[in-house]
Amino acid sequence: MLMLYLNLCETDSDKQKMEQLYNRYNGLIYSIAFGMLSNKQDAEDAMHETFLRILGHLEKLSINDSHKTKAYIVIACENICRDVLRKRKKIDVVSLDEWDRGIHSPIDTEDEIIETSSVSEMHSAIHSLAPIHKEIIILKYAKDLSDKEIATFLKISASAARKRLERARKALASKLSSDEVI
Amino acid sequence: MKTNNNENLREAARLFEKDFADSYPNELDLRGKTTYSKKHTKRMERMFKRHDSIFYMLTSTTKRSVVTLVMTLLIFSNTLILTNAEARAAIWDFILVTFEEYSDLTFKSTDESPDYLEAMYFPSYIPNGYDVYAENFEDVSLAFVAEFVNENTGEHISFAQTVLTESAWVVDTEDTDNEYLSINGDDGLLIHKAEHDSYSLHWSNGLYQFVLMGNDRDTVLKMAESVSLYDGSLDIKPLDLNSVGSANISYDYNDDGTVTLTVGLTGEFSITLEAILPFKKGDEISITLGKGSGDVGIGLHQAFEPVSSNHIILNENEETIVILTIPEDGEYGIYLENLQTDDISFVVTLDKKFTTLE
Repeated sequence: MLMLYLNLCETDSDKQKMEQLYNRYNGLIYSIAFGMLSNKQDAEDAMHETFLRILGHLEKLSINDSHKTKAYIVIACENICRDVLRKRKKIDVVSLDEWDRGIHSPIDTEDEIIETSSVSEMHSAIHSLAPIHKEIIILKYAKDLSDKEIATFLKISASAARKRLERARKALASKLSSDEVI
Repeated sequence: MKTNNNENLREAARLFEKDFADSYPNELDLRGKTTYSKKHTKRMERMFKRHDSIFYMLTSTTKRSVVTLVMTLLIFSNTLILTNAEARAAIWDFILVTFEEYSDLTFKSTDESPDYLEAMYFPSYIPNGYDVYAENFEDVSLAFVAEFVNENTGEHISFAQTVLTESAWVVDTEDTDNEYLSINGDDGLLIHKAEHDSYSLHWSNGLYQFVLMGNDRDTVLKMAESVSLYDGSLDIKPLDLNSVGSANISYDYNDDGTVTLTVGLTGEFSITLEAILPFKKGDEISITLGKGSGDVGIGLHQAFEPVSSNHIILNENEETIVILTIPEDGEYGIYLENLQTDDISFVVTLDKKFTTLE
């Protein structure tokens, strides 16, 4: 006899955590999404996508770690909204290359600059980075995610994640070596 | 002063993370301020109701209903499978990764592919003499299953509609003839296993994927060609999965890296937890069966064939620990079989460290 059957598996603790996260953050996520997309339907879609995205990363989220969790969810939401905007092509989303053009720093040794800068110098410098660079700095250095984990979270390739991180570090080094910071 | 390993950057990033979070409004102040559309509310309810992945179970035609179960949540394991593939073919709208005795089949999803079943598809052509059984169609589901039974001949035909996922179907391709064909313009794969004289047809319309399994090629193809949005015209009887055996499994990933599965099996039914992780020769898998009563068969399974088996009588007063030793490098399933006629449930804790899940 041929028989085929499909079933679903459920993890009660994960479901509970998802509901808690949704109940706490849905207003904020909607607010961010609506602010970026200016459309109720698109904002709801982005919110849905945001929670789908964090489904795969629940183990890294805690209801109690409020600012860490909040940063995670906000980054996910903003990335999703940026993807929507890119698809719409209604606004000029600044490309990574264009951000690079603004760096103009003949820095070959950003590692050395970063490693010799103080915490407060870098804290200030990160504030002045482009949003995508701020986000990847958080994911890499505050959350200690691997390149592969970052790629999965941002839905980009691992090589794109590494490239974005490299650009973020160059931008950071450029800020640190300029007079803009300190 | 020069530091190692970006420690200052890590500290600065952690400080900035808090600034970043604080730069947004307090989430608690924004709760309950928005009224969402019905569509959105329903969609989120679905997510909370059933957010996990599908277990695909395909029976073979052995005497007992041996079920292959794929933990599709483990997308990482799919990646590992790809690296081990003996042959890899990207064909049409699906990817078939072929191993010696089985294959992984994955259909490509599109932007239009729903996250949950939103519309019921069904064959409009049903061969004469077949009764139609089906689960209740629920639009919060990831899958829908129907069974066509000819009581006179005992022949069965199975049909399933599922969402498109990144996870693979494990299909038996040992000594099979595989035919690439078109179903109403959509790419499909027809697998014929001569040993069982069975046909398994897989295809996708870009929204969902479909499977039809039966013993007659022309019937399977004709039914597939007739699959369309269901118009409600058929006399469909409820499908009692327990009559053929079923399994219910839930699992938890524990903080210490172990995985706890809670398994319920109806009488004389067995499952295989397939493609969990690749193992090395000599690896030991410790399986803890919770307190209970009944007979359980447990062992290793590889590519639809048992590699080892143990007959365990559960103890009502204490847990039973079974050690399975991996004989050769490779990917193994863990085989659990209910050896009694009564339903049985038990807890299985796997202490193999699931590092790829971290």
